[in-house]
Amino acid sequence: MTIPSVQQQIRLIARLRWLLFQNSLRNIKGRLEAVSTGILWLMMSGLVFGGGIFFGIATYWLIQQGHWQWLAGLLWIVFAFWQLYPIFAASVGAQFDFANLLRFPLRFASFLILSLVYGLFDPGAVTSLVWLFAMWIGLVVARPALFLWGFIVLAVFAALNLFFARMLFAWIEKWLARRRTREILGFIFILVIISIQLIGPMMQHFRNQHAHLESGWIVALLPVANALPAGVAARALQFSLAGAFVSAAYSFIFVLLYAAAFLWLFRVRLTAQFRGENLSETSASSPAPARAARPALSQAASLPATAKRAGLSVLIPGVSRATSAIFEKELRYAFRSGPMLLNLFLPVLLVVIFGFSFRQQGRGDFLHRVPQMVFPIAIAYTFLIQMNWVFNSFAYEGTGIQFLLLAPVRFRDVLLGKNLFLGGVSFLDALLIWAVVSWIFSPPAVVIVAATFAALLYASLANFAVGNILSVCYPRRLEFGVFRQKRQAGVTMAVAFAAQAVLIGIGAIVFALTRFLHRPTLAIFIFLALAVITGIGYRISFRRIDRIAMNHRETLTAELCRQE
Amino acid sequence: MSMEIAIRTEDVTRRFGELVAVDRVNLTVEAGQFFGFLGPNGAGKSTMIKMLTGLLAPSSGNINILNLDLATHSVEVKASIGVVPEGLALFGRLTASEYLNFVGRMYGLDRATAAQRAQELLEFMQLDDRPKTLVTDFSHGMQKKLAMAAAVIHGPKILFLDEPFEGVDAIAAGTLKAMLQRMIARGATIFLTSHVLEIVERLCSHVAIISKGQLVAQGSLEQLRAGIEARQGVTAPSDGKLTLEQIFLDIVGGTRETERELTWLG
Repeated sequence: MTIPSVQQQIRLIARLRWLLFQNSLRNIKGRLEAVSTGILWLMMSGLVFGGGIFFGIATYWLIQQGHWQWLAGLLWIVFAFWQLYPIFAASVGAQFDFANLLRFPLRFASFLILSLVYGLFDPGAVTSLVWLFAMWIGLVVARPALFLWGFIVLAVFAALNLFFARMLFAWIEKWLARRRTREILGFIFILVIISIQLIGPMMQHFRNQHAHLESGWIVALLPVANALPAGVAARALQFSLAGAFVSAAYSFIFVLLYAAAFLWLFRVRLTAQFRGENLSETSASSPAPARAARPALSQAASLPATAKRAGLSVLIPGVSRATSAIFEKELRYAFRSGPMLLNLFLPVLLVVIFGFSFRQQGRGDFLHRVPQMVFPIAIAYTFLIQMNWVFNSFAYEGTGIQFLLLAPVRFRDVLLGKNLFLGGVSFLDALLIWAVVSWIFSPPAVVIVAATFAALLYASLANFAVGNILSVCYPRRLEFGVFRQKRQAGVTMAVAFAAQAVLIGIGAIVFALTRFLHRPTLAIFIFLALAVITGIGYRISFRRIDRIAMNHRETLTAELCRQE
Repeated sequence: MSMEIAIRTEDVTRRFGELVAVDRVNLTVEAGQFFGFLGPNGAGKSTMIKMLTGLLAPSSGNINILNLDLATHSVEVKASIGVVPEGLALFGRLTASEYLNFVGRMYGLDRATAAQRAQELLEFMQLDDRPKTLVTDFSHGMQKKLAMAAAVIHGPKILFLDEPFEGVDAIAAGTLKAMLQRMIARGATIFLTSHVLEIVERLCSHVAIISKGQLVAQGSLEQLRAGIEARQGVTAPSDGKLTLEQIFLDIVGGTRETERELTWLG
């Protein structure tokens, strides 16, 4: 038997991907998914081509004006976008775990090339490549003589980015293989994101308080930035623009060295995978020690220690035991997952950060002109962040969804438990945000607070009505702290986006209108009237959800019990 | 004397597009039976058990569980049955104790009863020594034992088990069998699917065999043996009775000539 060549193997796998895509279009769900993904790509094309035009013009302008040192800034933006996009917006990336292919006689070269090619199809990579291409066009228009050199430098810089992104992903995947490490890193990751948000306010504070030190601080950092990948690539271009080709070549060698180092580190990880490294967690489970004879089940025991360990027991008045049990389960899940808990209260932290940021900014912005609007805007922001939880309520249930379908409870009771939990969190978040806004700015007027809570009620009911149906019809399994394959269903993303736009749009119109009419109290009544309407919508969807769930039980079990 | 019927299906059919996975199956299981549901891979066993437990709707036909129509009384039926489905239906982020308490409350038990039964089950299943371990960190065998414990916490009249012994070691299998026999002794009905014919032969009093979506045999092991012997004039081997494996292969047509096939295999 002859093993297919590398080219043949790559062709075969490309064909496999194509067949998978074709087959996914066989049912309506798959077609809707493809259309939704297409729409999202279309929306992204604005960023790709708009950004491309900006990068092209900026490169041309910087070269023409002699501000070559700022080329590094552009390359840093490309570098940051390429590396950070997969983390921040993994939702529209191509999903395929090609480690599954290792059971075939795949050559290592094929495996390596496939891994790299796969990385090229990441939307972040595609966007960055378009931006780099635009920079090259700008460079060539400004200096036609640098046609080839510019292309080589930017192409190697692109390769460096690709190797770095793949290397980072491969190593992070190894670190994330264990649940506990995953959760710790997930927690750290969210803190890092929050820290990034803090950079703006800190810089603003720094600028206000220590303007004289700022330039020195930046100057001190410049050599470090110049020695890093985007810095050396920019220097390779800057020196060539100045005609110092030897220095440009030296800088370029550093770019090559960086690329080689990243490729080598990536290869180390990939070699381990190729040799059959198993990152599964199941090996972590050690067998239970041998035990003495079993007790009889019929023996009545006193309430034992383990039962007491089951801990808190939630009983919500006015709802079924099942709803209370689901509420309690949601509470346990939230407290058991650091990233999940942090996510729920992340909006409050972000409002604190942005609050300070806005307060320190100039007097001309909207929030300073209309300070009463800070509270409703902060609530709208919170509302947007919590969207994911509402529209994919069963994401983390896994095979537990089978139990929810097998248990002698109505599905509406299950969803009510989940809605109550999220509603409770939203309410708690809103109270905390009120406290934060009062602390940072000033306590909002009672009428604004009342109108905002009424708006939250109207929007939450609408959100739950739509979210419950989407959760049942388009579920998508997600894992705590796993960045790979973290993707909501395309239909869910599109509908959720539209729903949020409409709900917040209506809210904004009502606030603007009542402000224009100088009748802020009217907003309360309008939102309460809207809440009645969305409440009726919620009730209608709630009544039908049992039947919808029964009709979609196959989708639910197939999607959520799927082995990754 | 008429026996109480635990499970009765009438012309139950399930189609997936063009494929007829289960074709007009009429099944009767009497209360108190230890019933084995057998069939080759892809015969429709899992589809059938999913329909019997309400995880999947039949395309046509009726299902009666404990004399209740599953389509119209699904909640009442679900309250009376316990299920260990293929995927085990566990919540990975709870501890075993929390999970059993949760399940108990979902089945309407009060907190004290749920807690007491959970503790007894954990001890019986030898799962009580890891109070802080999350279910997701359990081994497969431990998860299976926990799923079994969850399926019986409310004292079901019928227990449905989809491949309960798959991937389970001999010690865990012994624990599970002990629990099942205890339930049968107390009058419960057990309906299980399994590929391990030896286990089915040892545990089950009655079996049904499904092949290509159609029910091809149903009855006690003795009835099936007698049927084959009468039909084919086959007599039991000199060393004893026809085994379930022989009965199974005879009914589903598992023997075939292989001389002309796969000659390239070496």
